Amino acid sequence: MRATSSRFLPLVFLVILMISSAAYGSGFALFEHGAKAVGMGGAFAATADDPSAIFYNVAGIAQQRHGELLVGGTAITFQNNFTGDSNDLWTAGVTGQKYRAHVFIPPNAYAVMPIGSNITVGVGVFTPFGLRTNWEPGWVGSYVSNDANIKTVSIEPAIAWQTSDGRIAIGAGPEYRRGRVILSRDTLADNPFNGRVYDVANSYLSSDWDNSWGWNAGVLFKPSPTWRFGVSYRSPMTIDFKGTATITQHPTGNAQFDAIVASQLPPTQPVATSIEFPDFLYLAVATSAIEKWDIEFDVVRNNWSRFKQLKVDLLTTPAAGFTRVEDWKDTYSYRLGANRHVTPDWDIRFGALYDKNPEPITAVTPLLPDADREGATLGIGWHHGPLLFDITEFMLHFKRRGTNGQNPEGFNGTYKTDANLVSLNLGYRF
Amino acid sequence: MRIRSVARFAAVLLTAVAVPAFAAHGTADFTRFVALGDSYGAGLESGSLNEHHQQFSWPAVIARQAGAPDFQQPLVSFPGIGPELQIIDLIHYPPTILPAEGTGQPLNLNLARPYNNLSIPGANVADLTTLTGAQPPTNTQKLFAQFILRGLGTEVQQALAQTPTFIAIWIGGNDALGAVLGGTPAALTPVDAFRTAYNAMLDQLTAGAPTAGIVVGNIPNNVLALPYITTVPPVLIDPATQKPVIGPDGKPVALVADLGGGNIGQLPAGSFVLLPAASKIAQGFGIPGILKAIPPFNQLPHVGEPLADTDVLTPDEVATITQRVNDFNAVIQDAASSRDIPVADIKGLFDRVVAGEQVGPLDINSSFITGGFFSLDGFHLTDIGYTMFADEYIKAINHAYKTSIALAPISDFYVPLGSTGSMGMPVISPEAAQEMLMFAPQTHKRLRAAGH
Repeated sequence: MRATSSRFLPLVFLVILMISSAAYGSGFALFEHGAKAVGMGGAFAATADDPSAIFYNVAGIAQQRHGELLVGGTAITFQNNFTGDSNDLWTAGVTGQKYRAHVFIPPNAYAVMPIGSNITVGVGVFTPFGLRTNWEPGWVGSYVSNDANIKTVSIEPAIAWQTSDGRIAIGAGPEYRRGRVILSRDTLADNPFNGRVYDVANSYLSSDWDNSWGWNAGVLFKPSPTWRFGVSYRSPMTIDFKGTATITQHPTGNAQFDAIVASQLPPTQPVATSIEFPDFLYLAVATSAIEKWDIEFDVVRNNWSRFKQLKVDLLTTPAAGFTRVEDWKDTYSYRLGANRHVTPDWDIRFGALYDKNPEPITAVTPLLPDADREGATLGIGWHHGPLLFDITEFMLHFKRRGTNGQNPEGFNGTYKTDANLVSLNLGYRF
Repeated sequence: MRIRSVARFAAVLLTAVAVPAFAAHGTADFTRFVALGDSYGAGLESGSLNEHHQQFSWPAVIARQAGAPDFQQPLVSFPGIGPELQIIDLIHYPPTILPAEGTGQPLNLNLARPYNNLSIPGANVADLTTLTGAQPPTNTQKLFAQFILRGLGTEVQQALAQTPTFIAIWIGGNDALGAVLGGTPAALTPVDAFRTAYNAMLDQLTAGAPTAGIVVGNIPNNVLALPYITTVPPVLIDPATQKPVIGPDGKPVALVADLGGGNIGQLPAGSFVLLPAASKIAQGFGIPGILKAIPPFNQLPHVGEPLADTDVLTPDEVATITQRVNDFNAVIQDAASSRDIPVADIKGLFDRVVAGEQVGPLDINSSFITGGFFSLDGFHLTDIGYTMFADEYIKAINHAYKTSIALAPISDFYVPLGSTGSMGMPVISPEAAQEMLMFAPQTHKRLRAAGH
């Protein structure tokens, strides 16, 4: 009786943490960096028993006492819908506008190799952040954003050490992150010759690939054969981007109006911006107390309050630059996963997750209309001899998010989004 | 006992909250929707009544949003009655605006019933119960009444003849506007006459259509809202620099005008010069005689001759007009409240536009030509302006009648890339245009506006 209550104490602690947190969410972070981890709803920082541990909890590679290569990716598709606010003079009556169809495939690749009996080294390549909101032609919010594209790729060498009994492992590594930002929006203007509103120009801000360095570290603690605790931390990072703002005028067919527009457009010019990426803290507990089941629960603290603004400086004509106040909040994500060993070769996985979103209502824009997210995952793992194969289906539902008339750029309405993700990884042990 | 009294108190409180303080007159049923009003209601724009813009008259916009069936208007073909003003040159300063050539013709004269939109350009409050279209066309409103009312009765009578289910009214602007446009408060309707006429109009409507929903609107009191008033500066502008000419006292040189009763003098600070006077100033009117020999003013034939009283508004005249409109609004509010009729806040709309209203990507303001709200005649609205006007009515209707009629979005005027962008503009073939011209008096009146 006493043993049982102490066994579940950590779970109770985490549930209390979950309930009492002023929780928010997930922004443009990606956590789909291994099909097994995704199959467990992303709850993997205490299990961390494949090379994707380099992302989830680097200490976990210490328990991998064999070399392994793991490569894969996640195919992401979105279905979304914008409905105008019936009280907004610009968007009232607008329905059914959405993103262009895209399939995004953030890739991942890992290699780990044990050295001696206590140390494992590895290297991982993954895409910790990403965003694409590319609205279809005719989008009435094109003056706010018609395309936003944030790409990142990280390379992370890692080293981890564990005690000889395997009860405690620690790991760390530097992270080299490259990123690129593309922001496109249009200028709309009232043509006094006919009183109609024209899309008179496009501003296409495209950065170079710029980079920065960070680090991550983790601890894995196994107090008993059936319980595991993980703590993992990924540092904040700031990437300063430089690039070009290309200004393209769209002729309207009225020479005088076009001449007036041309006289007011800024020239194509160098541009600079900066993105403050958040740090993440994973707290995880996993148990194998039930025979043939591994069950894990993770709480992730996302330090999104670093993302205070999106400031775009146009270097030739500074007055044409803009600052969009973001003022995101720190958030928590909750992930619950289970892995059922069906046969020695086959596993089946289930997961559920809830991400609170970090955006205050005033920051909900077509550039990133974030919302609280609920997800469910179903995965299958197969391993035979040196070969591994993991595949996961992941359905992610964004709650309806309305701006409630509070958008500072006067663009109000409700966003609905659903995503479907398929993660796949192939591994080879040697 | 104590609990029971608390419960009773709560019940009383809930009842008080549940019963709306304002029970709107009639119901919001748009099966037979009629609108009464003036040139704004008619959809007059850029000095012209024509179908391009009548489709955006505020009653037409409400009818579309509310789903009112078979909403008929007295449509006029392009270029309209009053040929539409068009921008000829916006590149050079000052911009050139000319009326389109030709004139339009009524297109819907044979409708076998009264129009749903009975608005008469030029109508004041009293006209709603007196004009029938049978009178000789001795003024603007009688001219328009001939083909809008067609001798079938007054606006009010023709509205009631349709057994209306909903009535929208905006009237009273012309009871002040004549004074504004004419530069003289003498043209203001006396408050008592306004009160009598406004109440008589509502009495006839509520008696004739006791179950119809009704909405009215108040009147902008801010003459600063109109580009017709604000565009031409009251001081002398150097044509070369477009900056005020500075006098020996270090101040801008004020224009000279008849300040009232033949009292000629320089305009005091806070005066306004009306838009059409721009063409007179271009000929030298209003420029002090002392500049007669000084280039470039020596080129102008009328330097030293004052602007007419009707070309200007002095601060005293502005104050008188503003106060009168405030009085009118008090009459409208009283007349409406006593009959449970909601009042659309058109005054508030104009105040917002003067301050600059952000509508999606647009900064809608009261600037001439570029502000997006006022059309090229400087006091009628654009299609966007009338849509915002209609939206103000829809808000009042939704609030009073607990309806959820969607606002008409300004993004409807957005022409996305790659689309034709004609939006309701009929294509007029050269042959059709030629045919129209056969009926048209040739108009070459040239209005040169002094900036924007």
